[in-house]
Amino acid sequence: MKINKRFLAAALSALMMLGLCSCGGGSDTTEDTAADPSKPYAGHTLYVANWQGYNSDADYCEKAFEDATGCAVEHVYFNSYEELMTTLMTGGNQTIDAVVLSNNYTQWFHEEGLIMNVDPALIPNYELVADVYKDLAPYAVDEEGNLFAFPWCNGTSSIAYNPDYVDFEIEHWSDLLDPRLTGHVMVLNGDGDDWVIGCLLAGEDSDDIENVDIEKVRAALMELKGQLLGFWATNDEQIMPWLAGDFWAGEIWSGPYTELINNPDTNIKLVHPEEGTVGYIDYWSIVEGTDEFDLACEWINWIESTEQQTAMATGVSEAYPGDYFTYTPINAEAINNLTDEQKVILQLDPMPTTIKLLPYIADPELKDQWTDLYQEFVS
Amino acid sequence: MKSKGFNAVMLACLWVVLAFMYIPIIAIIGMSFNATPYGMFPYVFTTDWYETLFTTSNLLPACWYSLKFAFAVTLAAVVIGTMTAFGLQAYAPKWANRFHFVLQLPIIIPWLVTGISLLLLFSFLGSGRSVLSMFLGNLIVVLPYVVLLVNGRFLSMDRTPEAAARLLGARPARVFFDITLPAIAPGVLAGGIMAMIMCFNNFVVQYYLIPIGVQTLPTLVFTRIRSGYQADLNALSAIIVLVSVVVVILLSKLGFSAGGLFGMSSGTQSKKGE
Amino acid sequence: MNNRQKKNIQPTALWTAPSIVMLLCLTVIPLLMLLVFSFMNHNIFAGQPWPGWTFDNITRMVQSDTFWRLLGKSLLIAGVVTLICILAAYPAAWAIAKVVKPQNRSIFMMVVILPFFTSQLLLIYAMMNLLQSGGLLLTMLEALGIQAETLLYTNKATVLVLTYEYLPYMILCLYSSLEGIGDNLIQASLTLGASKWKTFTNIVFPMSVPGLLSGILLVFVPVAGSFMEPGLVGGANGAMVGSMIDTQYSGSLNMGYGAALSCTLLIVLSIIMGLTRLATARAQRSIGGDME
Repeated sequence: MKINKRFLAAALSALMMLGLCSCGGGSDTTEDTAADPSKPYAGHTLYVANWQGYNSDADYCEKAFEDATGCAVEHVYFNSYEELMTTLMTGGNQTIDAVVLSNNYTQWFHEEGLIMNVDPALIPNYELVADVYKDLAPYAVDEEGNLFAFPWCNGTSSIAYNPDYVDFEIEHWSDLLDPRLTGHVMVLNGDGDDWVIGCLLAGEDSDDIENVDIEKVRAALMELKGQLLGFWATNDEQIMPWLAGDFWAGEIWSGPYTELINNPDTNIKLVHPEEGTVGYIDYWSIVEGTDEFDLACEWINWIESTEQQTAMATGVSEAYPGDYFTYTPINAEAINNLTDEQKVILQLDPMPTTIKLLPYIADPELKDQWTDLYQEFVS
Repeated sequence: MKSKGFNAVMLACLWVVLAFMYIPIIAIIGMSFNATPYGMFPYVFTTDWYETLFTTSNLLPACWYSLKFAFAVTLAAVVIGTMTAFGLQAYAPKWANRFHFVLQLPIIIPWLVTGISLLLLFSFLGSGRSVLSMFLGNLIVVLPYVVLLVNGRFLSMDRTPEAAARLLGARPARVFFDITLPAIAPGVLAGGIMAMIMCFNNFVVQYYLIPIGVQTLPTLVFTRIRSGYQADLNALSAIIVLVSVVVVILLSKLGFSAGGLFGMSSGTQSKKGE
Repeated sequence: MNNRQKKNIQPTALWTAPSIVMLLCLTVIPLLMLLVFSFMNHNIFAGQPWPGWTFDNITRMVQSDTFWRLLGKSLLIAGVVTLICILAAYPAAWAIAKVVKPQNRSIFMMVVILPFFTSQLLLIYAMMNLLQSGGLLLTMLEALGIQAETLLYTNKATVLVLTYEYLPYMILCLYSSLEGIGDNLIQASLTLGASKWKTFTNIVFPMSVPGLLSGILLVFVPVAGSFMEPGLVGGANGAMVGSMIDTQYSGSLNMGYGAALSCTLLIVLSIIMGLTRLATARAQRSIGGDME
């Protein structure tokens, strides 16, 4: 008898747990797209891989593209480029058609044969890309001149500080070593960013990382480490300690910067040091082995269009209104159309003088050395 | 019994420990009604996060997926685990000890290493990250707990009714389903509940084996924290806490003993003692 | 496996076959692969050319000060967390097993396991919220006139969060052992004139050793291998050895080096756990030996 009661109890609790979210289940029903001759891609599905919440899954981009072409766009999210690489290596290339890659990963994926060379003539809007971002070797073009990555947006991770706590002007990376900031500096926990910051501190050129004196960088990073409150890796890990008054100065991403500059409860000042600042360009590439090549080209052409780039930069879309983050565009027309206020938010006012892009180290032995340095810095 | 004073001190310690365990949970519930997204102050009451949770949030589909996934893993773990514990009774003590050693490996090895070694295996085999990989990874992590809990039940139960039934000519299947299974049912249920909870919350193994494009609740929480924390996560946690409280009350009202539920050490230890 | 045994194995034993296959394929073989991959010079995927053998991963590991420092630190943190868990869980488990009315015990145990139902990540986030400057804890201390620095972003915060996460395991394990000690046994010992301390060392402690051992196992090992918690709350010097191993997979994708590091961690952990088992067994025997 007792056992029956127990069975009953367990069955009830199992039912409750299952019932907990039944209301949320079933929401993944796919919409049937009716055949329409003006929409050549009706019935097709494009699988694109990106970070979650990074612009292309916003309505003005994804939904607008679906409405324009009749296809369905499925976003798959990854948590690291290594995860993406492992997935593509082990059969993910049979599903995923296009991927987002940062400039320090495009070459690696290309060398591993995971992304395709694409004729720029197939992407008419590539013409509109501002010259500084176009045909950028070695990030997007290999030695034989093949183009394999299409720029999408870019950004800098410069120094921000809170004048409420910092009573002097910060102008250079070396100012982060000031004893008045000890214990209140944060930087990104990421190999590329930390290498660039180390090089900037040591007066070395990260664009020529093969010839950098790694010991000088090590010494600089170890000195910086003594100043740190900690490392951040996410938007929240910047915003929370900033608002709490623990994080006074350090590297910051554009997203948290936008959030903090709009927050009346705190104060923030951005500096692009003249010796240089950390920069990145994010690209789209088409996965080798895709069965939706034409649609993937269409997608890249779409996100490089002036209309999309303007919506991305301003966060405003008339047809698909919403509360969007903003990112710095690469389309020349979109850049020219920005207002002064938008430039402040996009960290383009003041303009960065020198941008040091995240480095890619091809030589495995050298990469190990730099990885060990990064490991030492963050532990 | 020891002195009253001593017992009072012990009881006070218990309450301190419980307070320590429950302050963050209370904080989550508090924050789920707070309009200020980062931190506690200023505290402005709102129910917006619940509205977000039930309308635009992607948490509920992931939660639902996690429940289905955990349920599937639990089902497999309970069936295989019960079979194993049953078969284990026929082992000679020496071999039972050896079996227990291997069985405990998935418990002893940090999940980080389990996740990584399985990722290596599946990458090598070609399936890489997939739902099946994740299923097998979670299954092997929870299976030992089920076996240990059911085995503990076997060790403490009276085996003579089974022998009697066999002597009276009952078929083995009949003996198993009519006598053995009801007797070990509490252990099976305990194992199932344990497996369900562990699987529902296991971040590490899922993190290494999940295919991109699929989100369980733990991995989604991790991704969401990366892209920007929102308090609808707190709203969901508050609901999960509430549901757990109801489940727990239900279980204890119906006389389910927690001691039997989590006496996971007893199985191995008494076996070892033989 | 059975040819050494004189007796034929009973057919019932065959019921264990599925889990034997699973344990072999999903635990033993992956562990061996971890060992083999420690000597690989390239990542390996199905269909890709087989990489070559190398000792580079091992020499790189041996020469890496960072790795050994982190390993030592992880073991230290795991030791501290385990110790705090034991000190906090022993009285709590005792109270549930011996002080609380028997009919309320299962309710208390349920209360202890309830936090397991909620995502650990969310609980960590809630703790961070409580601990940070301007958080509830410091605000309350300030109201009481106590000035304090935030614990967050220090190794102490890592210890606190890990203790929080693993304390319930220790309580569960100790409870199951303590509950098994008969009240009349303790009563008899006291009546026969043994001091309270002697009763503890001669009866209570030896009988709780099995639970204690499982508790140590369930706390020490995962804490030593944790990587997410130190990353979130540990600050600039927070990283543990798990963080370094994780970086080899989610950071620089170097499977061979990651495998070498994991193997070493696993070997060190096994040795420590083996020693603990021996030491506890010896302690149990020597203390228990007093009785005879």
